Order: sequence, then structure tokens, then C-alpha cells
Amino acid sequence: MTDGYLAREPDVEWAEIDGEVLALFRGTLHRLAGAAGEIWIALDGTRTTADLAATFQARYAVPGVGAGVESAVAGLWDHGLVRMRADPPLARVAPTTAWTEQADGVVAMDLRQPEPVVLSESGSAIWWGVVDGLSQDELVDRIVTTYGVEPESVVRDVRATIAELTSLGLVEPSGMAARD
Amino acid sequence: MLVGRALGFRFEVTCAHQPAEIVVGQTLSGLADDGVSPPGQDAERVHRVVVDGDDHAVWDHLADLVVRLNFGALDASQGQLILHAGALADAAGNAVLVPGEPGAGKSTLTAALGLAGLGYLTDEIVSIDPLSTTITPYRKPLSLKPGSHAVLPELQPHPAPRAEDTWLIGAGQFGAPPAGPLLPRLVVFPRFTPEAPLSVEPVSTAETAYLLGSNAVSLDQVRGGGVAALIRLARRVTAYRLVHGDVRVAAAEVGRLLAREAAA
Repeated sequence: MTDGYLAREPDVEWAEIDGEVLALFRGTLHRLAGAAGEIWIALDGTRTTADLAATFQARYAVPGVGAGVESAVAGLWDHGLVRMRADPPLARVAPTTAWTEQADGVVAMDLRQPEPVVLSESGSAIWWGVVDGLSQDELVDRIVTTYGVEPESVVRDVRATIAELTSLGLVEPSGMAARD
Repeated sequence: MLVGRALGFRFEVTCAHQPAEIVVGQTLSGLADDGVSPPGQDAERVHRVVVDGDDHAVWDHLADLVVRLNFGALDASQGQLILHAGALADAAGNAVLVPGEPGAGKSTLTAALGLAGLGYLTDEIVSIDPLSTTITPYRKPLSLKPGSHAVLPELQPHPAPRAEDTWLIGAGQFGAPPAGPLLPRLVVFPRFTPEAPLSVEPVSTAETAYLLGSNAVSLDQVRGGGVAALIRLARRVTAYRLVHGDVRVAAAEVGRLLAREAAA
């Protein structure tokens, strides 16, 4: 297992029940109790194994937490429940954001602000890339493939849109997400 | 000719002589229906069997047929939550599920509960609506392996099968379920251990969901999601792990537990 940013395998059906996680993948049911369940819930594509170990070490402050996290992550990996990516996702939806998809695009709202924001078609496409946890390269590839536009202009649009969404408090850059 | 239905899988059995017809009729009594196909039923999908030969041959035919019916029942239950378990219900429709791996004593306990007066729903395939969690009965013949014959000798079929044969016990040997909704209230995970005293241990909701899922079939095809259905079901039942060395004592305890859930 190489290190990288850990994300849940998207085809896993899962739910939390009484502090544990039940995860169904390719017909096999997995029970993730204890550290494995906590790690699963924490996986959002913005953390490496080392990041997770540091987070849990800070949370529990007892010896051996790091090794336990590595072991639990290895177990998830062996069962095919997680995937590893070289690049972090571009950003993630901020925890204070509520959003929905309307007929003409995404409407998002920072719950601390009085007004929602209506995203354009291209802004909505970028929003969905954030929701899906895509890295910048993956998001640019998706938009280029979908709309048949030049990659250079897409990179500019993506950067500008993410900067604007960040300033509005609707998303957080992944570097910020990785530090919490 | 006997016409029946196994969870929507329609079958017809024709017998070459009258004694076989009586045996087949009694053994498959829990699955017999009026022969009227539901709308859209494809006549080509009806499974037809001819039973002939001596007594042992009749039992062999029936054993083969039950296997076919199980597969047909599974095929006709797509989207349902399917558990490998026994199930019975009291007169008010409060059901107990008895899941278990092969050898756990699931069918023997199911048979003992049926003899104790609960309505028999199935001993092998429990079909549960994933949203309402109501059970659709599949009253197949209960299969009792040779190791359990001495424990429940009153269930021996007639004419007698070979000693090494699994007994196929018609649902008519047990009570029938009520006509209304059948809702799981109790789950018992049994384990028969010779000479063991009765032991009853509560199982948490999370573990119940997991253990039910471990006894489920095609979870990834359940309508609305297999995990969601398991959790919904686990939250609606009380579950116990039950170790016993005497199936009649175990059945009495399960009956008491079900009565308590029904009264709650």
C-alpha cells in the first residue's frame, strides 16, 4: 500500500449505527467498529494515513495510536473499501454550507449569511467536482471532456471559481481541510 | 395435479399414482394455491414436475423439487431483503426470526417452535420488504436433517424416508400464520451445544444488523440499499444469542421472549 490521500471507495453503501459502521461492497458486508469506524467516517479524501494518525493521536493522546491507525487503514485497503489518490481534492464543501440542485444549476448558501448563491452552468459543473472530491487535474479533465473546451481556459476558470467560492465561505481549500 | 407458488415462483406437480399424490399434497400443503396466475405471470416460467416411482423415489423427487423451489423463490424475490433463517409468528403477527449458519440448529429450533404452537412461516428463506419490514411467508416443507430426527420423532413423515434422508415436513404439521401483516419483533441467533445449559445473551442493535447481514442473500440488490434495510430491521427487533442443549427448553424460552416483545 503506497501512501496518498485516502478516500472512500464510491461504490460502498454504508451507514453509521450506534457508533459503528456497516459497509457493503461488492456483496460483502463489513462491520467497522472502534478505530476502523472512526477512520471511515473521517475519510474525505483530504488526509493521508499520516494525517489521520496525527489527528487521532491528538484526539486520544495515548501511545500506539499511530500504529493502530495504520493497521486499521491497511485493513480497509485490503478489503478494497478505500482508494488512494496522489493529489488531494481541490476543495471540499464547507460544513456551514447547505446546497441543492435546481433545474438551472446549483444553489448554495453559507448558513451564516442571509442570501443564497446561484451558480452558473460552469460554476455548477465545478461545484459537482468539489462534491465528488476531484483533484484540480481530474476536474479540468472532466470539464474539458464534457464541454469540449480548451484546458488552459478551464484551469483559469476553475481557479477563479474556487477562489470566489472560498471567499464566500462555501468551500474550503483541501490544505485547510487537511489541517483540522 | 398440485399447483403451488414459492414466493411468486409458480410450479405444478403431477403424480403418476394416488399414494404419491397424497404424500406430495401433504408435504407441499404450505405452498398450494388456487392456481390463478397473477397479472403478467409468464406461463413459460412455470416449473412442472412429474413424480412417480416407489416411496423413496417420491421423497427423492420432493427433495430435488424443494431445491428448485428455493432457487425459484429467490429469483422471484428480487429487491427484497432475503435472510437465511427460520421464521414463525404468533396469532397477532409478531414474528421471530431464527437466523444461523448451517449446523447452528436453526431448522430444529424452528420445528420445535412450530410444535409449540407458533405459526410456521419458513425454515430457510425469509423474504422481508426492505421498507415496511413485513414478511412474506414461504411455507416450504421444513427440512430436518438426520441428526435431529431423534430429538423430534413425532415429526417423522409417512411413508418413512430412508434413515439417511433429510425429513421434509409439510407446513400442515405446524400452525398457520394469521392473515394480517407479519412483523419481526424478535431475533434469536441459536447455537446447539450438547449438554449446554440454556444461555440467553442480548445482542446490540449494531451487531444484530451485522449478524442479519451475514445471513442475507444478495444484499447489494435490496431495494433502497441492503445496509439501510438491515439497520431498519435491526432497530425494530430485540435480539438474543441463545445457546442450548435441549431444543424444547430453548423453544419454551423463545416463546416467552416473543410474548414479552408482543406485550411491550
